[in-house]
Amino acid sequence: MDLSKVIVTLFAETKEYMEKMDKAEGKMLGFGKSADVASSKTQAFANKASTAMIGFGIAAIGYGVDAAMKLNESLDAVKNQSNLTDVQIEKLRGHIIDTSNQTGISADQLAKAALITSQAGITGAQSYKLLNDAAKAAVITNSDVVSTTQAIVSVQALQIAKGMDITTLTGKLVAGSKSFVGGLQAEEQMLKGRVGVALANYGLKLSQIIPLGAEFAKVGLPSRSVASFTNALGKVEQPTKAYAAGLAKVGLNAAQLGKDVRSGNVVQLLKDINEQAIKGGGPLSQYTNAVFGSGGGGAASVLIKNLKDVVKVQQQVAGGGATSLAGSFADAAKQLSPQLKIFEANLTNALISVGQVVLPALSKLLSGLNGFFKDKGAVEAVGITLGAAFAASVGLKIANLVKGIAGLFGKTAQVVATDANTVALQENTAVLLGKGGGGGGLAADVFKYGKFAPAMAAGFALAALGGLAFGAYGDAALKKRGLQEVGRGISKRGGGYVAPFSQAQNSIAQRNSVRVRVTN
Amino acid sequence: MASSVGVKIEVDDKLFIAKIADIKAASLEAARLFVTQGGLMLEANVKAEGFNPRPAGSQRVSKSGRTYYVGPATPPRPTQRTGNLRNSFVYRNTQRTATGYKSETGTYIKYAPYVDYGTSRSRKFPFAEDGVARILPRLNNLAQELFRKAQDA
Repeated sequence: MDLSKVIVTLFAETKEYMEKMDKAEGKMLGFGKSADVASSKTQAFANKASTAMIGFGIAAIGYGVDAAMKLNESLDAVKNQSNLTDVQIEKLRGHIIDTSNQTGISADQLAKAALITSQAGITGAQSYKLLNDAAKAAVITNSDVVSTTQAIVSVQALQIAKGMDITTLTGKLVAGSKSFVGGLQAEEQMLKGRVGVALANYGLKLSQIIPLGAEFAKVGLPSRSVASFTNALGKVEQPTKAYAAGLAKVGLNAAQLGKDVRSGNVVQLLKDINEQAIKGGGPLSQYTNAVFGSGGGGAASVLIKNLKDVVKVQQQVAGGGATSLAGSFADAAKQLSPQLKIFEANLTNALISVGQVVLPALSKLLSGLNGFFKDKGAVEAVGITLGAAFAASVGLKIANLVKGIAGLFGKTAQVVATDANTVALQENTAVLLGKGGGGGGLAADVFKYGKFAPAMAAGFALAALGGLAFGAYGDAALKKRGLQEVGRGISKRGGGYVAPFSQAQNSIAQRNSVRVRVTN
Repeated sequence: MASSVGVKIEVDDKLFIAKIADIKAASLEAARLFVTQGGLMLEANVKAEGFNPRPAGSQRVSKSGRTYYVGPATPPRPTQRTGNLRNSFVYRNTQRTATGYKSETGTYIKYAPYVDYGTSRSRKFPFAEDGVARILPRLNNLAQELFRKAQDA
């Protein structure tokens, strides 16, 4: 200690924050490089073919396809290990993306959590609710969503939580975990363990059991002592004559104590013992040993000495529920780290949506290439670099198709930046498809989601990168299935469309940090 | 009639990177503001709540003209007599560090540590230590507010 001065030094450490920003910058730079490579290679192909050129945010699609594949793998695991139908899986996918956007937890992790709920037999709306609550609890308690879901699933299956609303239960568990050494997982272990079950058997509720468990965990009492304490509750509940006489010797009323236990109010029981100990004088252990025996007396003494803490946690847990969970999550989400995670999750999820739309179309397009596109490594390679071999093999089909489109437009270059142009493009595509087009399989597959759906899907995803969708698309275009899929939650604002991001992201969006322009 | 047509999406990554740079600069500025305002908050708090006011009538002047004080100090806060220690507790400076900013607030008065930390003969009167504890929640709010604004830069 420096005794020559009394100086308080305040530090503002921005290292970690700056590192995260650098990482985001690095990702964008990397993306830009990939896009440049893709663009130049596409151009080279176009020159070589001398017929047509089509490029739609190849790098973004590559990234989106990769992320979508990861989610697909997790959802496949859910499907394989549960009885969910394809429709249910699709619904689950949408819910996972929504929850991920809201909480910043990756869709992949949420899918793994969904597997736990489906294995536990929780399906439908109940499963979505549990997943959402678990994600919020994970953000609040700064733990991973899979173990949090496991904890909630375990506790809700206990008799003590039967009939309790999932959100209320989660709110209570989170409220209790704040005072529980070891957090939510330790709390779950206690509730599932010998102590929790024994206490529940005596009619104690969650708001009684959690504070007792929290105090035991804090002090680190041996489990034997805790077990003796819980077992002694049986004696208190139904006292024998000899036991009642023993209590009477130290001035305790067996009938009153029995009533406390039968009403599930252990805190009142401890208060009654404490009051008598103060009134009667002598050491506290004399009274606790009389009630709980020498084995459980120690545990009871600890609880009585920390009765204020026990009551405080009891009030916390009793007051915990849907409102407290929502409030705690809102507070936690305001912190910088969760904000950045939410930003990252929104970006990834937007690109996942692109991948979902593009993947099946491209997969069918290349069905003649022996499942080349179904291979994850190949998709990445194609998505990021668009190799010449790929361009050559796909190019013929594209060239034929685009020739037809070119004929309809009658122009060499046109900026598709107005609703009128978009609608014209739509109509032209419809005409083209009506005529059968030159692209055959490509036209049928790629365009079944609407005209140039992959291109626009990529556009929306890239727009979502900064939170702003360029206002080049009319309402009619938005109604197309493909865009609805991709633009989930995107709302119209001013001249453009804004993804439902956090405040911080919107602020970036408003300054057009990322612009998406569609040209031909 | 055209011989080629295509669809191309352009991503202006330069704008995104420029925005990141703006946010980083704003965050650094937020760090500077935080340590400066935090230091001033600490100074104000210690001066307002860190000392007991001098009890009325406790000041005496002897025939020789020397001023002295009667009555014991009331812990845990030191009792203000001349106000020398209280007035010397001020925000000093803000300095750039390798990873952010730091500021210093306090006093260089010789006896200040003995008052704040106590001695073998006197209990401690932690005017500075308690001041920090008192303003911690406000410091946290200040940091959240400044850094959130920086994100909106």
